[in-house]
Amino acid sequence: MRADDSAQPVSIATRVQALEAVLVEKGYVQTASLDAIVETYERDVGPRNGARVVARAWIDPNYRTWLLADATAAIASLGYTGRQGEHMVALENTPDTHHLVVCTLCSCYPWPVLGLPPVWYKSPPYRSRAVLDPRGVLADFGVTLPATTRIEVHDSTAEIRYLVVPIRPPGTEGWTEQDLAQLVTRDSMIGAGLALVP
Amino acid sequence: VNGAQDLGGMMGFGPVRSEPEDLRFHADWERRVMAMVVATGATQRWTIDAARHARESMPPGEYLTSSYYEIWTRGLEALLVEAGLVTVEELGQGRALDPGEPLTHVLSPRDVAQALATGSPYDRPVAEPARFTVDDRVRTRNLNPTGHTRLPRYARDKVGCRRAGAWWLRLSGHQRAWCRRVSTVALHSPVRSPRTLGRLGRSRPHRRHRRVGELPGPGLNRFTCRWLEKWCDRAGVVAISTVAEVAIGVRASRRCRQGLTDVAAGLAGLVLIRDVSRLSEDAAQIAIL
Repeated sequence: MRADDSAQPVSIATRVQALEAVLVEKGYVQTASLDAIVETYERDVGPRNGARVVARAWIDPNYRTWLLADATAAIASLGYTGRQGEHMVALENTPDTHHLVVCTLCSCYPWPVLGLPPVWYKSPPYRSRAVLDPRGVLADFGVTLPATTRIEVHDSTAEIRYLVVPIRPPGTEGWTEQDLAQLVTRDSMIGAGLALVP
Repeated sequence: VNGAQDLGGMMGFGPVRSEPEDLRFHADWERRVMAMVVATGATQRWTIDAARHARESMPPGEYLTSSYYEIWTRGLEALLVEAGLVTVEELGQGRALDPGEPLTHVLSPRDVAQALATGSPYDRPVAEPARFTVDDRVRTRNLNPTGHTRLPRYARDKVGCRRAGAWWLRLSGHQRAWCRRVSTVALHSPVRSPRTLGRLGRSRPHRRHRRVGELPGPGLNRFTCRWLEKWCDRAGVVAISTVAEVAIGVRASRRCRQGLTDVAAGLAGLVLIRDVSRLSEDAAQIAIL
């Protein structure tokens, strides 16, 4: 692909720097736009968005019903929309069924509610084993489910993005949405973890 | 393509290593390449599926030994070169050797927030219901396309239930060009009726053709879709249609002659869909039982 592939290897940082220089010089991207994109996903858009969605579903039965029926709209009502989350589906974990989300082919992930995917989500160990040995993968996260719990693995690989609604932990009756959201981890919204127990 | 990206079901990569949720990047160059991928996508010079294909086209050994943002970097470089926006020399030297091409869409800083919050929805209106409905019992096809596919190997030739709705497979520029050719070339029908094509399609090329018409505007009508699908099936071409939609995976291009020769040439395995139609992410790759 590049002339220097067979020559002395160029560090990836140098390579990316060169790429940015060319794109900016040619007027295809603006440095300030790149900065704004980085800032958005480093500061504003992350798993706390999804945690708020989950906490709302835990305390508001109508919202929960809406979320499970039309996740895109229900999530948008809290202000979370856009890139890599245009078509959302919410999957509710129950004692009978546990949902685990993977993208075996790439890194499809619900950016508006979870932000950028963590490295493990994009890496071969998770992508290869989630569909073959989901219990083994869960064990890597320290999660053991009862043998009676059925595990459903959802391979995103395209435009639908999934948000797992973990089981609400016991002992949280009467908690506020804000407090509940603290118990909702990123991993629990992928299905790779459980909500924290207070 | 059956590339290294199709990881589902493989073994030997070791345990999954979790990381803290507030860890967003591991190096500054990762920030820049993420932002460049987003910003250049806004130029609308390629589609999301073309971008996927660019990453999946990496040699397997390189793919598996690259970090994900390295894969994004390589994919973006390939897309830019393929689109004619930059040259390999420019990437090597890290500077523009020629002025940039004027683009209709360049993401300005003030538009970033809105662009990210809007995204680009992939659903499209359809006049008719898709062939498959949710919970239909289906069998996936055993495709081995050389282009981008949403059907991983572990899920091919499997019986299951359709769970999701229909979605659009977005085409690369060159795939769109092929679609235009489909709309003018594919309608040269063999003189024999579709019913007799099974034997013929497997044995020898069609020598005579009857022009049955041109596709109306941007669309295939329902009859045409069904006819084309049958024709393709018989001719050893994998055709997938959800009634108002046509997708053609050319699996056996040597069996395609005349009518679909132009479409098939160089396209073995590519899953195509008409530009204006939708392709279900799973349903287009399944056959009803």
